[in-house]
Amino acid sequence: MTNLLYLRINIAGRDVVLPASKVDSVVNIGDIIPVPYVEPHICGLFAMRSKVVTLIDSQWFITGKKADIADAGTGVVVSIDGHVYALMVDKVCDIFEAANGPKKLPSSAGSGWDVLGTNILEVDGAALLVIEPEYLIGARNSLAA
Amino acid sequence: MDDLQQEFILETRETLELMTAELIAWESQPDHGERLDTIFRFFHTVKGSAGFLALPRFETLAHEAENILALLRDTKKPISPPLVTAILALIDRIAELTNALEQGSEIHDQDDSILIAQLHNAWTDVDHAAPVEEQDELIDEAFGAPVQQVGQQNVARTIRISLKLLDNMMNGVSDMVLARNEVARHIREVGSDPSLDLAFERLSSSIAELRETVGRTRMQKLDAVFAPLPRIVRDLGQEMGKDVALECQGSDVELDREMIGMVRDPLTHIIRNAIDHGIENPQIRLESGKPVQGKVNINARQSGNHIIISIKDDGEGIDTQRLVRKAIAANICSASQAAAMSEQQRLNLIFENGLSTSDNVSAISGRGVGMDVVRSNIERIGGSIQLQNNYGKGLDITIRVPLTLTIISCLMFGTSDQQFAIPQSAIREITMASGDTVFMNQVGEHNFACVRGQQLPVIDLANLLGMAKPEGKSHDAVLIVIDAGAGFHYILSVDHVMDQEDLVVRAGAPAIMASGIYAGTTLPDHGRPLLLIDPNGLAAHAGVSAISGEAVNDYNKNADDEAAKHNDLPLLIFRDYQQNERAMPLSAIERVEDFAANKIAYTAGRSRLTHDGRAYPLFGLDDGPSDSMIKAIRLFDGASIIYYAIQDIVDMHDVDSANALQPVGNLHDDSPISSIFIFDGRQIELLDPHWIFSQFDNEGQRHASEEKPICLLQASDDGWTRQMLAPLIAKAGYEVRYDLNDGEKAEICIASDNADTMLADAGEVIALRDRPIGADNGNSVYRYDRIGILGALQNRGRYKHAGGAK
Repeated sequence: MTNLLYLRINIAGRDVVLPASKVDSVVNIGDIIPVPYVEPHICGLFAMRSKVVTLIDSQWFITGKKADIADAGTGVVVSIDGHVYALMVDKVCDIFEAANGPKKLPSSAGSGWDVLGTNILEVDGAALLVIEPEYLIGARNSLAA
Repeated sequence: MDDLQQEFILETRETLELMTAELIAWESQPDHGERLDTIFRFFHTVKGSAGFLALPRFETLAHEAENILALLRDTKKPISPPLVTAILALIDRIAELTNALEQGSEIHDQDDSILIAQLHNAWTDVDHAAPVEEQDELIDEAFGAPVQQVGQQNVARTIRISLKLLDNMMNGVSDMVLARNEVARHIREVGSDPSLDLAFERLSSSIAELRETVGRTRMQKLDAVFAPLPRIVRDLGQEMGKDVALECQGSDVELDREMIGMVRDPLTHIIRNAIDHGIENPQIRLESGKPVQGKVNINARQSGNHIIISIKDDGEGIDTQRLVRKAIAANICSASQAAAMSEQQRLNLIFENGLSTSDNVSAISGRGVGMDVVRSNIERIGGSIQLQNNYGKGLDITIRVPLTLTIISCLMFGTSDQQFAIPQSAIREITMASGDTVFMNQVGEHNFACVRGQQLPVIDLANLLGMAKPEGKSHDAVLIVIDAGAGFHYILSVDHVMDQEDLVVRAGAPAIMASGIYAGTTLPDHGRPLLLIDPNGLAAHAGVSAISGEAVNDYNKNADDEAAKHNDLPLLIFRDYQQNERAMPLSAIERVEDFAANKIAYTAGRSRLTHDGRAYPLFGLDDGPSDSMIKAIRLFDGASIIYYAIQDIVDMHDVDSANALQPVGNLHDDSPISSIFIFDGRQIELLDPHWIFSQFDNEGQRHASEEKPICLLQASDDGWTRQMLAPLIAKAGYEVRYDLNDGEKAEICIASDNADTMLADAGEVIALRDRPIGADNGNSVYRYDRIGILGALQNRGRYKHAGGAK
């Protein structure tokens, strides 16, 4: 049941989950090259082997504050439409197999959380937001709405 | 999908492309020979495979075509254009079906029967015509056995590989290159060890080789672009009632796969334009004395890192007058601007948005959307497009595109502690803001810099991108003059430039590209990502753009004009054969030429150079040439030409003629040096061109077009006059004549004793006598008194003439 495998990560002090099937790898973020003049959720670029990876500031969606790129430690690498992105996270907690599939979020999760995902996963009685990386990448449109 | 079916689709598609070209070649030269067989074989194969794979529609279409072709072959009826059109229609349908099969979609089959009916009708018409004479056999007999198709035995074996696999390979190699660089860094840090160095060297070279090989797998022949063109030309020509022949050369030139896709549309557009607007109707062509059949010639060749594709047609070219009128009507430029434009600038109006040369909008082109898109598409991939118009005779379009899209030659520069890159192709000049040649000032919102007399808008990159500026560094900014296309230039102000490198550029994430100022991302050898700036996008975002119609701010032209405005004396500095570094004013120099040493001879007291059937004095080479080739500066004073031999050009340099030159020696010294100046800490002698020309005073190297005064020699039947006297007179700068045409007047006339009569319209007369001592009180000159003769010429002839105004 690989499609019930989830990665538990921590963004801005809150635990959320990512479907493991969407995650390429978890990496230590190298030297970050800032990209001026772009949307604020783009932190910058870094090199992962011969690939240029675009670093997404996950925290910005939640707190509205840009993360300090000097603190960047761990990135969750996802590939979308042929481009490689890394979501900047506080930490990667664990990987686990969920007992049940995700459910629709019954009501808005508030502030920037809506942008990150619309499903929740119940784990041991606790509800965790399921992050959809596509939302973060295409954040421009959803933010404008 | 079924493997067999997949194979069938790929194979059919591949042959389809070949087929179309074959069929069109066949139409222009209809015979019943090998081409017909090839076409027949194609349909036969399709029919066979389709039957096997249970694809009835393919089978029916192929079967019908095969039938007709077989009939055609057996009856030897002539091939008519409608028949070819009908067969082409069948091929098109098979192509459509192939696509549909691949995508799993359906196409309505009801019009298959229409196509087949069309084919039958065309055949019926052909059937009623007389059969073609049996020429083919005759030719075959005359030449013996039919020629074997060349290259059939030597076909290189190929396999199909998915593009994804190739791209993965390419990425893998890029990884290896970066890993190698990292290892190289470590080796440098740790210190060298000969055996390690050797091994590393070997690894490096094999990686480089691998990189090149893998790079070549991305290459594709231009054939892929050229193959559909004959069909387009044929269909368009027929639609417009024009007879056009297409000639393609260089279809085996290879280009990056991505580049092929980018070139296809612009090229097709240009071809369509050429047929629609360029090639005239047969009637008009006849009237203007051109062959009825129009010609479009495409020629591709590789030149360094670029591919040059030229498209020539022999149509009517572009009527720039009409273009200008249209531009004025469309408010693209004002009448006064148009009046000031050069011919090339007028021609370039065709690239303006919303302008078309055609009076009528046709189905093919003429809506004014076109050349502007063509140019922007080509410029987007780092290429350029040039027009050469020959009004009435044709148009010559040259497209220049880089070999690969992904590897771009870039300049890396830094600003505010961050590095960026910009395509080298956009850079015109790099200069320091603190230099004497640049003046910065603010006009309205923007900063402008005056470079070479041209006010160019300045974009401060750090400012625009909102980056923090390192303090106290603004004074030594580097200015990069950038050509943003369409003749518009601006200046990018950055902190420092670093290096030029060929970079593998990839498109960045959509969120990055959306900003519009980046052209992509790249990973240079140092392993840190780099952003590639899009020069045009940057200008648009900075709000710096050409004011409509003023787009032609001719920066390059001004670069030439500017030098004339100052006190600056432009000089060419060179090293001559005496090992001296000397300089010569540029204004006296026509050009620098290379000559083979055997063109130089020591004659009549000095070195001379044979060139264009004449001998010219050669200065600065006393001992004869030691090299097999020599360089010489060609000096021209408006009348005479003198060459000055040099070893090498050192530099071009402007000196301040008012202050920097130090006069040397006496005015009356017999010296070629007029002054000296300091260049790069060295003393350089400035040659005095006046002195040089004075040395060769009137040696007869007069420019052919100059009118010489006529000297009439009497007693022309006498051999002495012709052989002895005439050369002396010619050397003195006269045109020697023995007769005068009507209306001509001789400046001077020289008569020997034995001349019978004087011509009435001769001017001054010098009489020559045979004996040293004359009987006429010195009114005549002894004929071997050279000084006397020349003196007389001077007194009575030119001198008097020159002083006549007094």
